[in-house]
Amino acid sequence: MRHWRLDDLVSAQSNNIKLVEALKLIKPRATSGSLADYDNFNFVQLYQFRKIFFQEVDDTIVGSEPFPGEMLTPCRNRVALPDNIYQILTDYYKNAYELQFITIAESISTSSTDSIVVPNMVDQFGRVRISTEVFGSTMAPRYLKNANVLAKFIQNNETTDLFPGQVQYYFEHAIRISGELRTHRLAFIKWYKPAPNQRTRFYTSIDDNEKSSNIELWQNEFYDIGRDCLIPIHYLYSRFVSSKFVIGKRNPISYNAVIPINRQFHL
Amino acid sequence: MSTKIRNKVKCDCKECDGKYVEERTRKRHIELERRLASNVSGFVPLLPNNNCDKPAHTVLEIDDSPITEESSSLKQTVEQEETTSLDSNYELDFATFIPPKRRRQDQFREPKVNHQYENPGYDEINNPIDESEDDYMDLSDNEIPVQFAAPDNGDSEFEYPNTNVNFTDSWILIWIFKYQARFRLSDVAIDSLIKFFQKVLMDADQRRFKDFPSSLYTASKMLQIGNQSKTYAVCPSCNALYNVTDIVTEEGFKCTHVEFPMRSKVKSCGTELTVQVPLTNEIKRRPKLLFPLPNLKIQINSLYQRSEFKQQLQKWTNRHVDNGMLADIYDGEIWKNFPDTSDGPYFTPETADSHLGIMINLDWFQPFESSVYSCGAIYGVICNLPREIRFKKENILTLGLLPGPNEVKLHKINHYLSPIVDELLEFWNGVEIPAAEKNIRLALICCSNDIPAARKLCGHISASASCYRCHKRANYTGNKSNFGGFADMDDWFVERDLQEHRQNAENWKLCKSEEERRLHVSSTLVRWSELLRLPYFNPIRHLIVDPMHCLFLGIAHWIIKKLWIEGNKISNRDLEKMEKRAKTIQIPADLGRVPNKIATGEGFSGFTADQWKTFILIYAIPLMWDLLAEPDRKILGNFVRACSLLVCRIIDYNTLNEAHERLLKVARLIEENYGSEMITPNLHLCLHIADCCRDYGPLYSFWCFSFERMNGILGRLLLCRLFNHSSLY
Repeated sequence: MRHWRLDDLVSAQSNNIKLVEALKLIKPRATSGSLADYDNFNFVQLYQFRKIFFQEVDDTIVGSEPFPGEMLTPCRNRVALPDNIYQILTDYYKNAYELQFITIAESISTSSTDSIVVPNMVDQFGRVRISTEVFGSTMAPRYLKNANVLAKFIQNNETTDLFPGQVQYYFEHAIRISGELRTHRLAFIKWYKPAPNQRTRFYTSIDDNEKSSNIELWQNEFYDIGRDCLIPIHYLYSRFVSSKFVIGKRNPISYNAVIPINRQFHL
Repeated sequence: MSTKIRNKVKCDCKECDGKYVEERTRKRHIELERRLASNVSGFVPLLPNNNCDKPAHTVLEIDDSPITEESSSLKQTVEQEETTSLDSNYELDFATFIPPKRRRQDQFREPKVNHQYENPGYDEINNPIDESEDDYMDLSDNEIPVQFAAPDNGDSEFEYPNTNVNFTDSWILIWIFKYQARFRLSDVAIDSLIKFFQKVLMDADQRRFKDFPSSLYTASKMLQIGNQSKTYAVCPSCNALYNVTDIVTEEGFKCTHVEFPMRSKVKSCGTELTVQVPLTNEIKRRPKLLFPLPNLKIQINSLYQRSEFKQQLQKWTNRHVDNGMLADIYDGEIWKNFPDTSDGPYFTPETADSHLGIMINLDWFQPFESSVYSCGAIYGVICNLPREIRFKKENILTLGLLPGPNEVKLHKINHYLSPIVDELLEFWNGVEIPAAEKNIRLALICCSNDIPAARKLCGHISASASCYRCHKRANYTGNKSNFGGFADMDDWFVERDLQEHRQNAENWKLCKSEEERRLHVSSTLVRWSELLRLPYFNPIRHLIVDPMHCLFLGIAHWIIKKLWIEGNKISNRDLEKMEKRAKTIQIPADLGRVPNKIATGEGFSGFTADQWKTFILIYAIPLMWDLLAEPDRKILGNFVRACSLLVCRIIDYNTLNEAHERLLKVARLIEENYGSEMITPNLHLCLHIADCCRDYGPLYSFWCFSFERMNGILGRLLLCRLFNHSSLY
């Protein structure tokens, strides 16, 4: 009862600046697991985000949409992208906006005026917090455990599938498109190669039902870097725990077991 | 045996309204009424002078109506208005002729009414005449005696505490108390802090801070932080409640509770309720056990005093989730269709900030590490609040704290529930809360407990004998019971009938002996629960199966330890192998690590529910898959899949159905491979989890994980305050 009485007293004195300031000293620290993060977003924004994340929207997501969270340290401001990634970024914009984007090098050689030059400077981040979860990357070695992510891709045959990958880093890239400066938040991810066949991939399934498999087996190698390596952070589906899984007694082959962690998403 | 049953007589005064009270009390009341009557109308009725041998109801004819009748017959000109004004004058006149101190006692210490005597069969019971069974049955048709009731505590005098403190620098003290709460410091610690502050402040400005309190005691007096909860004395053996003042004033007060009032020979409990405490110059009596009942009105009132509270209550109304998606308790059937008294829905957007729905949890916990002492706590959570703040400790209501040292036995919990239910009933009809400036109503919409507590709370038979949600009964092989047999599932997988339950519970109260009760319970599976007094309460549907206890502490534990480790499917070598593998799996820090000592002890010793959850969802398959043979793989695979589907924060009906199918498959596989005696109550109860989800939304909105934390907080408070009930919350 003491605690209720105190609450009464505090709310009665809520205009006492001294008390308000003093109470800030003993405020509990915010934890990353708080669902209250959603409070800053109105329902429509949040709902849109949920739809993106479940791949339920038809529009292309470019990466400049709002999201419930923030970019976190470690960060490097204004770094130049390596050439191969810079090229991929330009390709990414071409696909996303279906406009003509060119690199700085190309802009010297060509003289067309209606193409947009992509600047080479980005702000690099090691972690990103999306609502209650912190996603890490290899840029922040302490958070390497959080760097394993799953993302949904729409396949050519109109089915969506989850792919595991390891985030290398996140970055914010600002570009002026049709007179408007937009900041895109993207993740650079290396994707794991799939297991040689579906039987191995869904090794732990029961009754030959792929869906009943709780974990999937993938190879321990990455695909080569390509256009798919850049995705908007909105597409990050969930994290996963990776573990070694050995198949076969005679000549054992070890695979990477992908154990998805349930997303703490809540609307 | 010196059981003293004092003579009770019927008192017809306004306060008692026909109750049976002690002789002395009635005498006092008669005196009062007479003076009152003379004050009101100048008419003194002929009162026999405390003649207790006369039948009580002929003695007193003074009630509101008799007075007005007679006065109007004397004074023909008295108008209707005057008669109505009598009521309001009543209290006033009441005050004019009694000395103040005495008045207070009269209102607060209304003598305990021995409720067993309220039934009309009192006279017969007291006369030791052998009566036939039929007579009792007749009696029971008319009225069932009240067996569980809290003594009346003068509730009408209750008032909301004043928030104005007459001291300009009180904010310093408020801060210190908040500081104590934040870091969970002991009273001793902040006592010296206050003393230190006083020294510093006096040094700074003698005149300004001359009123600053010099100790914790004066500080809490100044802020009026005291004991605002009602406290009852409890009989240690039968758990009946008494007013503390009643039992302390009288020497050698013994418990007068009668367990079987329907029996011909009344035998009361007779346990001594007080212990004597020698003080320096006197010997004081102190109740052996106390039951503090935190005041619900004050708690609700101070919630409404927060400026943002009303908005938070309304938040749920402006959310819309696609059809077929369950994201929170609001998407469940119960919230959508909870009936109001007038058949309309109870939860509507218009009444979002005044019609509250609460979910309660009863749990026992051990506050002390080194001694066996378990006490219980009943919490309430306001479901109208958004999920993220609903379970924060500042928003959780404390409905009652059950004293130890042992858990309450079976139906005896009703003694404790009775005053709580009284309060809830009052709130169902609406209570005027000053801070909210309107009538607030409260409905109990859900009970979330572990299984033993659930049985006690709602009066069901033990979990090992029968399911409380459907018609499944346990099969007995020898002494052991099991829930095997899924072939005839359509026959028993049907919800129990509510009317039948209520009727059987009423009948339980008529049982005349321990043996009769036992037979009644084993045939009808039901005993009385005070919660049934709530007209809207459904002890079958509103009592959910807790997924935390059922899935993780129950089934996961059972499968791995009993079936596999004890069944030698997993050897000690395998356990060591698993331990080695577990060490290589790196999981993110926010998930909570599982102890990597899997192989030590009996294997998986001391895993908590949360650790079991992590183990099942992440470790189980990569660790154990190749150690298991075919049927066990299926059991594991199905179970892990079901769990990972169920723990999603948003769930739709399809996944719910899949999870249900898989849990059923797990149970069937276990029966097939290990025999039906391995089907535990938990394996049966998990089949009802899907139903609970349809009623209350995803597991996140109702499972016990959220409540268990409260026990930790409360337990630590208990430790640092050394069991001082008054400052507990």
